[in-house]
Amino acid sequence: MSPVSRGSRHLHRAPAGEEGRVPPGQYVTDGFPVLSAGPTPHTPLEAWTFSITQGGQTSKSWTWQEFRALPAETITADIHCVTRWSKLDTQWRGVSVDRLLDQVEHEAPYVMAFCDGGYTTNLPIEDVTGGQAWVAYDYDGGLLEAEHGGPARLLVPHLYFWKSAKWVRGLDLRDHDEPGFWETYGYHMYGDPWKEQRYAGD
Amino acid sequence: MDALDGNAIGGLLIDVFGAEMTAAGSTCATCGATRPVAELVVYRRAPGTVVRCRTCGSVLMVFVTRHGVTSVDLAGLATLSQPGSALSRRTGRDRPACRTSTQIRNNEGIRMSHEQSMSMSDEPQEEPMSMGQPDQEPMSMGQPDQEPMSMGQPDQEPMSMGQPDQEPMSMGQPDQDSMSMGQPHEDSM
Amino acid sequence: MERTAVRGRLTWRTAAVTSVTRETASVVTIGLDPPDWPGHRAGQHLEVRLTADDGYQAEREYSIASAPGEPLAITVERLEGGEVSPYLTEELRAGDELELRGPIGGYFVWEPGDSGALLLLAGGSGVVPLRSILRHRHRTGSDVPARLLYSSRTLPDVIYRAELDQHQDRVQVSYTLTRSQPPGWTGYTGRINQALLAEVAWPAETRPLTYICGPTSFVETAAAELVGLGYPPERVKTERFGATGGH
Repeated sequence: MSPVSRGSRHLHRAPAGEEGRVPPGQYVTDGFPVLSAGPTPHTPLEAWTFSITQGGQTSKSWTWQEFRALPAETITADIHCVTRWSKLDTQWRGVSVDRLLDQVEHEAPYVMAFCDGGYTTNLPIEDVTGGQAWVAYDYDGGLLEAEHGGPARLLVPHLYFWKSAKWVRGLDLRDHDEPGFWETYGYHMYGDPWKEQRYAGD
Repeated sequence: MDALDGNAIGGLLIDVFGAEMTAAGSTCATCGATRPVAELVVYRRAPGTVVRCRTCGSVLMVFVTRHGVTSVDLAGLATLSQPGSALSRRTGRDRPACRTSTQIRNNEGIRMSHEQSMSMSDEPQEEPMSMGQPDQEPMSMGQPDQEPMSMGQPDQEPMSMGQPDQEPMSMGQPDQDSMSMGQPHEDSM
Repeated sequence: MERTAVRGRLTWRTAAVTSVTRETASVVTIGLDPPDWPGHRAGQHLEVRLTADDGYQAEREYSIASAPGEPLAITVERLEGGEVSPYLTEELRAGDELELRGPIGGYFVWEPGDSGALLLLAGGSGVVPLRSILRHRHRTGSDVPARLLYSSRTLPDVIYRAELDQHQDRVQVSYTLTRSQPPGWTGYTGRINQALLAEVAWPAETRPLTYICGPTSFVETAAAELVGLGYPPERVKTERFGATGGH
């Protein structure tokens, strides 16, 4: 028999009428929890680059100045963390991954996002194109804070948020779908929150 | 978000290893640094709990709970050794005692089984627990009478271990997905 | 191989809350009476689990404030934006129930037989397990010398102040206040640093046994400074509470 907590303020069910926005098993949060597998990196912007790599070679790379000069979009999205919190109507600004991949000749079916600190996550190319993914550097009207992935993170809202890799530094084009960090430790290779694909085998 | 240390995962370690482990000695497989588990760097609140070497930052242990079962990947550790003194203390009514036997079999990868009893009462003290050879060798897994094998070379499949008192399972066959075993995370009541 | 009743696992128990005592504006001590409690060692902690109406569960660790043999108690600090501590510090009442399991910990523990003059460094709510150690030291009649250096933001934030002041004959207690001090304050001011530790800590040659507990940054600064004073790292035990003082 578990005691009832009379005051769990920060997580709640979906607002009335908005239940369809919240995938199964999720709770809506007003906060923005910080989850991390390691220390927050602090790469100086002068040293920061974003690269598209393939077969050990860099196909295209942008410095921070060059990256910020690219046409950017404003994105409003619901995000869903595998640890069961969802946040509705989050606001971002960043560069569409379509725009980045258009700069490179490739036929790769998969990408591996790689990040400062060594984090990686794998995605199918068709899930980071077609207007479904961005490299975001602004959140909620201001610069993306380091603890939330700044200077820039991947943003792929239609998948569980571990796929929206913090501190992203590039995409490595791959022929095969190989597990990234959490996928190696048992999380799902794809991660569709609407099918509750949290763990391998789900 | 500041990191914690191994003290914060004391309960998790008991869930998975069936014993108090914060005072256990660890050796990083990447840089060789040794320190008690309590002094390792712990990141919680992630999709899993990640334990890193305080010297080089390498990942030593990753705990993931899925569908009520908690498993741990120890591929980043070279050794994990349980000092007998941590378990053989007498402190009035609180006197845990453990005994473990480790079975190693040839040609089937690595199997581990634990038989374990833990007394939290006033019963007579048992032998201090060792999670390896009786005189507290670091816990290595390998063929008997050979050089102990490190617990997971960096480029092997991650190995997982879970709660001791289940059926032994093979761990870390090269071409398999990593297998996990563990005790349900919450007691049935 | 015989197996005794309690396996190598921690069992969740439902404990009656016997008392909730306010220590400071944001800190309470909660008296607990769990069934079949096996007792604990000074320095250990518990896990507490709350379950909301909709089934959502949250678990947190809290250090045990009582000495072995005393009625079980934990001391909890309310953390801004916390999920669990606001309930424990503001809504929990005597007569309620709390799910807990433990005791947990085999490294950050002290026994009277442990050699070495005790040096205890507390940052904020990090004083809680150290208080258990001090009470255990007293209850067992240990004559090991002990010093506590306790860092808090302000004087009203000092937990257990009356108890610590009352027993200065048993334990030398030094306070440092980092944010503001009352008029006429004669204690230390500011965050601990090597100069303060050089004044307060036992000489390294005496091979003291040190316990440091508090926010991560406090613990790491203090440990580094002690090592700089010649303290052997293997005799400096640390327990980090994270940035905001709780696990």
